[in-house]
Amino acid sequence: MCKIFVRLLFLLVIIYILNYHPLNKLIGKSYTFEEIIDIVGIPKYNKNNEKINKEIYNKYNLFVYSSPENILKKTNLQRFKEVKDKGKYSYNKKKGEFFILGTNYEGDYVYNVYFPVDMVPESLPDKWNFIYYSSFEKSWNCNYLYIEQVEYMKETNLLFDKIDLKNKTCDSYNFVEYNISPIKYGLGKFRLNTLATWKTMGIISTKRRAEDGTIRDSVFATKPMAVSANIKSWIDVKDKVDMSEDEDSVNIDISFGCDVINLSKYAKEYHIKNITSKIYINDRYVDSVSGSKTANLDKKIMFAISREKDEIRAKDVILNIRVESYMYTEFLVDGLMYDSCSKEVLVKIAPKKLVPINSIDINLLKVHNGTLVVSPLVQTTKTNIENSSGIIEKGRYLALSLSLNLKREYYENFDIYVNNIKQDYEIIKDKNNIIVLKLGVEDNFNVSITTWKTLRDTYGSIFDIENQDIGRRINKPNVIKIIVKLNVNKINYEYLVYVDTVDYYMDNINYKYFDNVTNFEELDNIYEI
Amino acid sequence: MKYKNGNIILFLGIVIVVILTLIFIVGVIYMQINIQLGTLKEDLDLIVRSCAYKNVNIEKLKYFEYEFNIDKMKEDISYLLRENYISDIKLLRLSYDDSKNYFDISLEIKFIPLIKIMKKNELNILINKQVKFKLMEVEKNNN
Repeated sequence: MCKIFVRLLFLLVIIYILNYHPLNKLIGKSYTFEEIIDIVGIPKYNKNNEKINKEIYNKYNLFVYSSPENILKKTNLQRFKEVKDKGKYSYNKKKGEFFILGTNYEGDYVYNVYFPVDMVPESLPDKWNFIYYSSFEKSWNCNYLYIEQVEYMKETNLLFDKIDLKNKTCDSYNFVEYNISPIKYGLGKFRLNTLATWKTMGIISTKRRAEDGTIRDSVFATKPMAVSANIKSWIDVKDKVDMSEDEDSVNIDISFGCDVINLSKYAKEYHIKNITSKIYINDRYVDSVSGSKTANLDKKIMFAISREKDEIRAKDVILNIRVESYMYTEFLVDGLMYDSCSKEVLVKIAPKKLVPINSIDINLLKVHNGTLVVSPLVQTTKTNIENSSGIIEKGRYLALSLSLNLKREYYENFDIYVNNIKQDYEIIKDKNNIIVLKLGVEDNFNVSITTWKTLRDTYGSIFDIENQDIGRRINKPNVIKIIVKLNVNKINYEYLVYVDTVDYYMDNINYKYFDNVTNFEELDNIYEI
Repeated sequence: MKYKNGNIILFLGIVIVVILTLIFIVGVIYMQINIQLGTLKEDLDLIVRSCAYKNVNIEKLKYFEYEFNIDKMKEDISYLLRENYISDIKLLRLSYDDSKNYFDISLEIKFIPLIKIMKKNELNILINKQVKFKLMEVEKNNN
């Protein structure tokens, strides 16, 4: 029985130890087994062309190839012990533990540290009489890649099964830390088998002389180097962003990244093989940042939120920003460390400031070859000063051409006031977001510029009229107020245009007008409506 | 010889008297025409224009289209002339030229001179006139 126990412990030299800490918390819950081995780069098949075992990973957090059942067919070393309550593996409808869980990449067996011992030691490990071997001492001087691992293995206290001397029990599911370390007892008494990593235990084997004089093999474990080391995602973004009425889009500054926390004297950032942060907005991938041999990542992005085309109402948009980060170390057995965080950002979109009318053109309405056309109004130096669009005779028609800025169906109606008196109009064109209104220059319009009739009425005789009196301003320009009512917000938008008026057109027949006309060359031009 | 010279002088005297008589007659008739028809010619502008005002299509004129009821205008013009000037008058032609904005009017007037010079004691006088009818023009030149 004792020999079997010794042999068992001896064989555990090359075992990969399960994670000491509840690694479930660290291994990305969002990542499937297949995703993890892809990201970390663990081969799916080992050198013996055996497939990686997902079940063992799920139960023991160990990457092994083949399966306990396959091993059973190959070697008589393989054994199964029933452990009724704690057994992790099921075989022939019994819960228990296999002695060998599978093989590693090289094809060597990976032993199960939870396999129950064959016999209980007679004393606690710190009382044991360890035997010096020069080969043990040499095991510490191999060319290990990371010296921190070796230093850790030398200095850390060793773990062993919980031994109950009174009841003669040994609990292989419950490791206890004993005040034993290789540096304290002498490196020659401990053989370094497996280096601890950030997340996995190290393995050290010893030979000891028992009280009965026999030499027994023992296998100790160590805690992982940085069991609490973890990755922490972060987002830095305002809780609330406003899109003003003048804006069609707003840029949201977002900083995101991750930090590796709880690094230790032995767990260094240059052990990090890959560290990546990905940002998702409303579950859609947006950007990522990654690095190597660094414990901190950060990136700034600008995310633009645009007002939906033609959307003019107020709206609140909630952005769910999520950062998912993962990292893995040079030690593949550490697996994937994962963390995510999320934050909601409220984007308050103010109702768009509407500009219903792009521009208003005001012209003289004419008929040319039976078709309605427009011509420019007469403009003079005097009309220009007063922002008047030009001069028109009373009795004629103005063509007000409104260039609409919004969808036509947004417009409820147009009202026109001339000198604050509402006036009727006729729509003579309503196409391609251009509306042309025909407005008669009726009694609401005041004569603001003198012509012959005005002056004759003033002076009583045509002979007293001086040429320089023609075109004299006698009133402010007429104010044409266009009120545009939108059905989307029921708001009235006012636009003002100014126009000067002279006498009724029939009163000016055979008379001439001259007063610093500034657009003489354009007056004969006609344009289609 | 003296006799011959006397005859010549007498002949020349008669010729001169005849010429002077003709000049007198023509002058009298001319003066009569001027006196009677001068006012008419002057007033024809106003007559045509006022009739044009009356018979123009105002709605179309708003859009710079010149359209007149020419037949009615002829009636109106003829009536005014007959009532105020000469009873025996004939309006031969009235038309409006859009490109020049002028009315072309032709009148035929029967005229009875004070001095009877022919068997038929009346003259037919033809009057042609252009009357401007144009909406307000804008001129480039300033004062």
